[in-house]
Amino acid sequence: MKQLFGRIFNTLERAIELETLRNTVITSNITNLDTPGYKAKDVPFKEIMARYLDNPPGGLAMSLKAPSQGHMISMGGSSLAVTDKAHIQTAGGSYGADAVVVRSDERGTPNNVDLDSEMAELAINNIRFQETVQSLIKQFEMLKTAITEGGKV
Amino acid sequence: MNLFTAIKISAYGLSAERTRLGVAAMNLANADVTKTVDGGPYRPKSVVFSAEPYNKTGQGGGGVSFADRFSQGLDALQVVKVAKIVEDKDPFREVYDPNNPDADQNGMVKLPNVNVMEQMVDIMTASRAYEANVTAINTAKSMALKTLEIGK
Repeated sequence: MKQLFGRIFNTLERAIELETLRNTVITSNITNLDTPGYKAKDVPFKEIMARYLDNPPGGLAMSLKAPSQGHMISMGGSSLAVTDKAHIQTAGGSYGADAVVVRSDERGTPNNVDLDSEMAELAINNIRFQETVQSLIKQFEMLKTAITEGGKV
Repeated sequence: MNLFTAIKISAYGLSAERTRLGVAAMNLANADVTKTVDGGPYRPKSVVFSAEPYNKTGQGGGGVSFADRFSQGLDALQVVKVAKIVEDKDPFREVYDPNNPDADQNGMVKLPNVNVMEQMVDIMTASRAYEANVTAINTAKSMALKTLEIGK
């Protein structure tokens, strides 16, 4: 049996988290546009997502790769423990402060915030966020369809 | 991590840029003042910005909220603050005007060394930076509103 909120939900959730963090970091750059010596920061979205997808927490990979095993685990009740662990990891910051890296110093100036590129990144990140949330909404809609339409003849 | 963090950080930016605008306006307004309360002509002032960790500048002096403590990446975030307002040490401008009550025995009057061009550029930069911060707030706002659609 597949989980009700499967891997796609978890992946989208992680993406939303990262995009929120990235938005905050870019905002911090824009705010410090004129601060002497400030170094622009960034969140390497692709790398973190790739790492996450390669090694998803808890029984996510298991439920995808070996459905029967995942089923057994969920029947045994340890699925809850695994879910809990993943949840704590997320809340405690499994990618923590090291998710934020200092942007490469392409300008060579003491303050390397480039407002144009920051505003562009802000807009791009915003659109990505809207996309991700829209995907999540669609997932919920599909789930709802599965639940409500199933009873109809 | 929540989107209100971004809005709060932008608010620091807005306040810092507004201070810069205010100081530049003050310099322009006092460009010809020869007598200040401290005596002597007016000295133009500049604003010094500094980046401070967001964590240590929590709301209301009570540190960060419980929810923020569990958020990721907050250690790396920095807000902008006005560290200090310094007086420019440029020498005064001297103009020959013997009729001015502030003139010395040679008829020279000391005037503030306000560079109007510099101040105007500062005002424009502050205004643009302010706009950039407003845009950032609007972006965070649109993101927050989008998340509300998940529950629909």
